[in-house]
Amino acid sequence: MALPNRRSIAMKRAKVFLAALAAGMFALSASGLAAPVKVGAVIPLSGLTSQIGEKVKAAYQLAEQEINAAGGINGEPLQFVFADHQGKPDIGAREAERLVEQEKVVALTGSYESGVTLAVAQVAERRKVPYLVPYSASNRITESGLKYTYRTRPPSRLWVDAMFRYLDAAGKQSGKPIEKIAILAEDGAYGQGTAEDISAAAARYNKQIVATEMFRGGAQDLTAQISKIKASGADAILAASYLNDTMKAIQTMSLLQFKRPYMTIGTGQVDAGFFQLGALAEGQVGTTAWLPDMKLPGAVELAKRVKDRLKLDTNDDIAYAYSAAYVFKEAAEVSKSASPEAVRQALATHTFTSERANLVPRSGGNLKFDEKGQANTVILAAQAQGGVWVSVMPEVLAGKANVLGQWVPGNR
Amino acid sequence: MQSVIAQALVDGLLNAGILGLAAVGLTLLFGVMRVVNFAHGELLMVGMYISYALFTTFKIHPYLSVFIVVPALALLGIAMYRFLLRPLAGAPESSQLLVTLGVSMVLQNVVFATFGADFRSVMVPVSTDPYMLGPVVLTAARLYGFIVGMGACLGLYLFLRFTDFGVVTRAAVQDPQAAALSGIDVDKVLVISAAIAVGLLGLAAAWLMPMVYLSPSVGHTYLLPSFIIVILGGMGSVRGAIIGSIVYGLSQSLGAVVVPGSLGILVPLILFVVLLLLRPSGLFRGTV
Amino acid sequence: MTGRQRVVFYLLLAVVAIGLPWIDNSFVLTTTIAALYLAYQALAWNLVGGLAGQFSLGNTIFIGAGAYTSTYLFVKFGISPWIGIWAGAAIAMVLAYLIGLLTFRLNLRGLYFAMVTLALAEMAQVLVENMPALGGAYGLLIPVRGTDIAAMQFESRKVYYYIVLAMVVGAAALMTFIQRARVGLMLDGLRENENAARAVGVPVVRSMQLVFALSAFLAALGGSFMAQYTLFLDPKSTFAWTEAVLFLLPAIVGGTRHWSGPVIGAFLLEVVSDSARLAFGASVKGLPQIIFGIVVILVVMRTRGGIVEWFVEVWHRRRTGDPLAKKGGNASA
Repeated sequence: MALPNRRSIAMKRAKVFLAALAAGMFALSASGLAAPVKVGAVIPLSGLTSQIGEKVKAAYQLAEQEINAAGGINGEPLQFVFADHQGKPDIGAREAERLVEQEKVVALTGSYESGVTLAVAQVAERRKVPYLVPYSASNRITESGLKYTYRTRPPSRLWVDAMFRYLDAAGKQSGKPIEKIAILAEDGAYGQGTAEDISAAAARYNKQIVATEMFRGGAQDLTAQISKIKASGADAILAASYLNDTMKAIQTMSLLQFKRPYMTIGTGQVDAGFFQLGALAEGQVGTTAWLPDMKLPGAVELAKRVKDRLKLDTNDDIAYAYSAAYVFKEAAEVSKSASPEAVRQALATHTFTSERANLVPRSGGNLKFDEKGQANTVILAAQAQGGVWVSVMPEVLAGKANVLGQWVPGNR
Repeated sequence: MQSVIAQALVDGLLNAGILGLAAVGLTLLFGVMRVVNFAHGELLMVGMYISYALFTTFKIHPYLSVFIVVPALALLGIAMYRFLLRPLAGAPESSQLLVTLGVSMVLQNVVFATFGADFRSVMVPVSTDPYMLGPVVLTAARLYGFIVGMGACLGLYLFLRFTDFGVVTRAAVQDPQAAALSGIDVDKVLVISAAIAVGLLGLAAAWLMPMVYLSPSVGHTYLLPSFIIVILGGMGSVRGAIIGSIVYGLSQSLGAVVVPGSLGILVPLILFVVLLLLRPSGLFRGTV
Repeated sequence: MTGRQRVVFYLLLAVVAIGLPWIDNSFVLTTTIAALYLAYQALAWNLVGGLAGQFSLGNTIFIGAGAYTSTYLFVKFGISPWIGIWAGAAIAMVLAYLIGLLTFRLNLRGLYFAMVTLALAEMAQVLVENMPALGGAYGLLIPVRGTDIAAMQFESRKVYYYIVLAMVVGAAALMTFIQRARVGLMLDGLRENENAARAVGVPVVRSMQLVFALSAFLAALGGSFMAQYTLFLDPKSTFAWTEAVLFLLPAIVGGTRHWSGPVIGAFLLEVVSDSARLAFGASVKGLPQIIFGIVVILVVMRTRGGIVEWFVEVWHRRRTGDPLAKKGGNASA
């Protein structure tokens, strides 16, 4: 019986090895400290979107410091506990579970990528813990009947609305209306959802969709798509692209001598990195959820604090993360309890009045969530002027006026 | 529509130049060492970051950075061979594959830890200088990329076919024992092949810099096409890599134009599967 | 080791495995579930990758087929996953048969086979992303039902643990059964030298087709399980080739000749990656993955053929006192 013996002994050794590892695992997970009010942040700290995760983590930490310096929440200190989801929904879900079970967080926040957000939202739903989402434009997040997910960032429908309203206004300003729209979208969830919204909005704004082009995110060559769009006679391109693809598209348009407005969502365009395009960037227009020059009380001060303490420029992600912390604080204070159910109840019914919870552009008064868990926040159009992004529309919120740029309809 | 197709044809052909250059190193490595190098994409990425760093720190034009990037990558190739691949000679093939996989993870994340995940780009005049060919527009960078890429591939082909070292390499590949008995230092052949294979990646990296947006995951974009080109052309065949890259480049750009949406990527993939079924060991056999 | 000692050993293993969830620590539980699932998919891959020696990168096609079928049937038609999973497994088997027809019959081996399966997996991803009925690039969300046995949903993680544990035991048993059956011996032969095997009358293609289909069957069931566990499914994380590689790593790292190989490999890799992520994930960029990559390199350099084989060889060398001894003869069953 020689053969079975060897294997069994090998297995025995392996089992000892495994037991040691398991013990190590167990030790690592033990945490027995008494808890302040803990909020779990499941964000991308490695992988493609990690630079966003880092900024957002810094924003949460800034809010945590300032809240605690002012006495905390109901007298107890706030503590953010961070977990990296690596861009993977299954890891995001597991980390969310761990934060709820091990770290005993009373609320979750995060997570940027819609896939991960949905996976974490399922965990929040099962574990009955409120999930405060300051990012992610995917309509799905508030259209899936989830009861524990509350999003402050506007859904993609509103981003698209802002694009169309800008095109209308620019058309009026220049005297040459913009009628024919081309869609350029990356083929992931973000792109597909946005493309649908653009098509739907086009009908409402009486515009014609003359081309719809998709591309694989990160593709280094968009010549095929842009040349097809040029051939279709489009007056403007509305897109769903990340920053590198946006810049590539704009460069290609310039190369093919196709000067038209190119607008996409948020930091896929409205970001300091955009200015790597040099002269090509001037006058370009995008959409944004937050800029320091907005007519919003506290905005300029926040940008200054973030610059001084974190050495960063405030963008949508940072501002929304920061204000989300204050939304949580007010929800817990209004219900005089930081338990998950109390916080959820407050999120569902309360109208938020503190300045810092309202540090995001809204319509219809102070911040509140509708019955689907969506907040009444809005989107602005932004323009690159003199090497910086400034807000140009809607006038009630905007800091500057729109300048008809190098792509003026008629200047072809 | 005609001009769109013409544009796609030209683009596809030009892309083939650089794709071929990236793939030829892979095919050489397989032909000579029977190694499937999963770290191929990441090695290219490291080359690009070196070029980028040289540009931002010393203002060295990416094309000139080859003088540093190519030797650096050649050394990396030699190191990989000496310390990881040679000790595993004789182990099951999957071991070498796994080890290169481990290398790819380490490289990608070391670069990520050092530079972060932000997209970096190098904007030099060649990136945007246009050339017109009738209705077709091309950037100078792409044109030069094609010239250098194809040139290097052809150079390698001629080198392997007609020089002494080339003959020696092919002998070592065909029959290592017989080659050793004839007095050929097989190990030295392998070391030099590793240096050439990865060094060529350095050339590709420097020439790609003006055209791409760089991030730690850019290696992945080039890995699958490289593998497809190598298999299609026949593993170990430089001629095959050249032809394979042209087939791949054209099918990719034409596919993007002709097929709607993101289904365009199916064209080169389907073509690949069909061609392989027709000729299961690739278009060409042998090393060269 | 006598027969009785073996029984005792397996009994101990069973006690540990069954009793584990009662350690009241959800991190240990979820990590073990993840490790068991990884082990399961590694075992499924090993049927074709290890036993038949065909390096497949297409396992994600079958995982996706299973996951999407059972989920779609449930979300659109309300059909219970307990039934849906078998539909998914059947579809996966058909796909495997078709792919096998294309590849095995046409003599595609080694890296050529791997690349074709990889290309097919990429195609599957693109196709699913472009099908709105399957949720497109967004994927599918399974409505949360709390504990609903008919819907295969349970609030307590413990139930999922036992399900996946049973799956691993089943897969290990299937692998061992195949190894000992006639087809197992035939696979050994054709793995060593295909032409020689064919010459003595081994039905090469049929044997490969058989294990490929079984591998697909298991993979699909696993995919359905995972969909029910996370209640979320999307094309990118299902079909990506990086996932395919993740599922075959444990088999190669742990060893392909015995069921313990993929299991040990899975636990090792899972614990390393989770511990690293826990320790450094939120603090030092990229370090967890660097550690993981280094561990893979070190294990491969040291063991050359997988951990289990290495242990066996070292033990055998010590036992016979001969520094050049290798485990000889028929290494399987």
